[in-house]
Amino acid sequence: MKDLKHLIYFENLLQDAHNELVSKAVEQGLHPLGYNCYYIPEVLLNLPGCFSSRLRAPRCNSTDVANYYMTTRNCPYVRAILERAIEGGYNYLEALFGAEGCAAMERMEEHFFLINPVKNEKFFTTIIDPPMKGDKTSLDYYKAQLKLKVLEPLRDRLGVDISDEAIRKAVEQSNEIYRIITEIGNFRKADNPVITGYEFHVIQLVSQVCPHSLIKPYLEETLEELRTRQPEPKFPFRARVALVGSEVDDPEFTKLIENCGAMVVADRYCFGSFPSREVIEIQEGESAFDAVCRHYLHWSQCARFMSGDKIEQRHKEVERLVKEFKADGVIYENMKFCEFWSYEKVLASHVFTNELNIPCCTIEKEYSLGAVGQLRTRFQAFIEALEIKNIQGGR
Amino acid sequence: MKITDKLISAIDKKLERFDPLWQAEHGVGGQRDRYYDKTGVAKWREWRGVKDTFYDYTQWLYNLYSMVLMVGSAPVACLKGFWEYRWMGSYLGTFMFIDRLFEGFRGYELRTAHMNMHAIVQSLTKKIALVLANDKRLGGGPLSDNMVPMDEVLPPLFMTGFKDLIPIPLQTLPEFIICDIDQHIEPYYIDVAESFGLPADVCSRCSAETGVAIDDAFPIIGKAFLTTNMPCNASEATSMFQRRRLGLPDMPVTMAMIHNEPGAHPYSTQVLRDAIAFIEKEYGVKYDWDALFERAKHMNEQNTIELEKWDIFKTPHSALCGIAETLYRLYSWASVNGQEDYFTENDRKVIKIMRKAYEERYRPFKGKTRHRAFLWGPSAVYYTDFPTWIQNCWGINIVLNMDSTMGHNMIDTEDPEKAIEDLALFSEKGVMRHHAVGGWENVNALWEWAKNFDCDMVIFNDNVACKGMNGVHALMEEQARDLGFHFIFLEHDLEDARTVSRRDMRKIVNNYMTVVLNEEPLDPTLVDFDDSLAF
Repeated sequence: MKDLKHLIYFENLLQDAHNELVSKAVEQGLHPLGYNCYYIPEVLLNLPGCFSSRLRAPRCNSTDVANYYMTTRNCPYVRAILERAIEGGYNYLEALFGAEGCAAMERMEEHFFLINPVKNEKFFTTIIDPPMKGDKTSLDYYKAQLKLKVLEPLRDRLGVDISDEAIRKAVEQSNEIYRIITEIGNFRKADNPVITGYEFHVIQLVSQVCPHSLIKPYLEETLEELRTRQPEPKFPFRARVALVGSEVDDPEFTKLIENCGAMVVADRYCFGSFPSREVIEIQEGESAFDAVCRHYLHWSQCARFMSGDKIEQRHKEVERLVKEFKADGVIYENMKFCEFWSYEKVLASHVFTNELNIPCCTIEKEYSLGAVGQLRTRFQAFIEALEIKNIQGGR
Repeated sequence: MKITDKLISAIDKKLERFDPLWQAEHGVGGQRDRYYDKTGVAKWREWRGVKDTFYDYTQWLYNLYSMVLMVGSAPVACLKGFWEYRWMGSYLGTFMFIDRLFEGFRGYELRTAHMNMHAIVQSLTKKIALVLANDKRLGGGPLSDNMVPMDEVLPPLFMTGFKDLIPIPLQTLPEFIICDIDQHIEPYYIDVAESFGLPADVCSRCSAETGVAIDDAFPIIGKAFLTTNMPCNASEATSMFQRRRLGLPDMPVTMAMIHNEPGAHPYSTQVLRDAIAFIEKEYGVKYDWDALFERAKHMNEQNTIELEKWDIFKTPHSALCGIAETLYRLYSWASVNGQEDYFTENDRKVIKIMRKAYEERYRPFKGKTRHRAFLWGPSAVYYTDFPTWIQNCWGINIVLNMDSTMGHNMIDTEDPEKAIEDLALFSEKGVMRHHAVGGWENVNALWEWAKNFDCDMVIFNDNVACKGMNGVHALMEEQARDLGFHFIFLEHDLEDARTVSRRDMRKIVNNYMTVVLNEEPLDPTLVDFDDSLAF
């Protein structure tokens, strides 16, 4: 396929959290607001005058200082983020909106106010206590937490308009991005797609780490380009897989799988498009804020949810993606030391393999892709198994 | 002095050379000399003087009596239980377990220790018989459907409003207590979970619970299951396996994680209301507030006594020490939680002894204590007698344990609305949770506690798999340095003695005491020994 016009530009934007477009937005006087977890609705950080910046630590080579604070026995993602903060990589931020998504995440976010790594006089941190069920009691708590820890600080500390009208506008503008990304992502459903999993991963990531208003023209242009892009004469991969699990913010990981011969057709992981790019619908008589909370609580696929309906939803959602995107199997990953996804991975792989008849390969990964030989071997073996299954007619 | 006292005194003097404390003091032996190498099997019982040895032995018999009553009350069920469940075998180690907990205890501290221990033994044995006699896996019983299996970390006091139902902390019998007693049982269940694919870096306790579930080793009781998000991430996650394996309708009682903020309590209160509604629906029963108030009065009295105990702990004259305090508080709070009169009565007796000892300005352990330590963070379950060892070996008295600070607010006993709010606050401050999760302020409260209890030392349990506590490593160490506390990070793997053995744990303390503080042990036989084969 012909190269996408903006792919290299997008790749460059992903080389640094404080990238070119972030700098531009800061110069324009927008408030840069950081977050880590899906529990913090991106849309609320894109209220008029603000932009969201989902925190990554690209090109992280060492977490030595973070290891001192959090030990080497903790999540490599949170250590990488803390290290990058200490290095000064997030000094552009005016706030970090954290979530007690897990103990490691909370501890890392606490360091943002305990050791003050972000050198920005406006900077502050809040941490919400997100719910673990999808019922009304949990929704009410979620709303109360977001109001107390996100909306009110935005209003009181940064003077941001948090009115219903402002939230509606943010929803509208965010939905425009979500529609573009969803349409781009849907190209992956084709038998011979005009986009690779790697390319989509890059596009999805730039939409999370760059100011929406500045990245949108590039995304629109890329969508137009894809509409007329010619696919390879023949599907160039040996299998199609859905990548499922915990945090993945390095497109090189997707590239690794694709280099082994399987196209990543669906991305259901933290930083992926499922969930994150579903259009937010405001029902009649509902406030925009209520709609946002309902939307996020419904779509969240976090392994932290404990109730039966949400556990079931996690598995059903993957089953839906496998069917819609015609995946031959699932690669289920979890970040090393992640308690939630370690458990969910074990349970889900049992459910997929034995109950839903979906082939599943489970792996554990580090944040920074270093020695990938073992992973490559695992992927190659899995892809070969999928291929053989296909040759044998699905048996 | 009475003639009998004179006689006893003379005998004690004559036989003092058999007392391991005397031996250690005179450089001719010590506690560890009594044991066969590598094991927890003693060649003879500890000689503590006539009175204390006699008392200790009668208490041994008293506990044996409870065990006999247990088997006698449900002989077939107990037999089937031994046949069906691997974990049942570990209870055979109970007597060795108790003996090693109270090594070196004399006088008042020995009495309060045994009183507390017997309270646990009599309660636990009844519970084992009750559960086995009604376990559907073993044929069931008349009370099978009146039982409510609950996550053991969810305080059951609020369930006493269902006066015809029996809340059973599900993991306590097959998973938690057995690890207290036997360091070798849990690895089997951990291996079951890991052979199913669970990584070895998750919390070993939750891994063991998962193994018990996969191994079908949970008793099957009740009609619905209450799980919880307490105390931490892995605990939440393991409940996914337990609910699936038990196959009962379940409700996760998800209390606020960041529980030290005002906004958290209305939510937790509503969650408790939801849990009550769930049980009403599943069991077809009505909640009775008066029944709750009756038991809450017991819990309030126990907590009132507990607060008085704390005042005495702050002095050097406490007759309740180390593991005798820790284990009792853990069991009586987390498992009994106001449900049994015996514990209120026991508390009344123990506090009387403590008051008397305080008035006499009694010093436990013959006044050999050199340091007063606060034990912070979840302790190694497989090394229950660690506080005993550290006292006997280095003279470090564990004054209080983090888990003893669990919910001590009073519960309103008149107004249901106020009561449920109090219960929410009470439940949020549960075992391994009050100070371990939910925000920096909770864990950093350590220094205030240590200061208030006149401690010069902090021993920080460093569960190698606890992501939350690992996340404050450097900050705690820096705080200790700034505030001038002796500070030891005590590595352990909670329920897996293979990762960090008891001996490894001792080595960490030994190194600190010799290298940093340049101190000599009270009992050199305890410094380094191999107990890898012990229960």
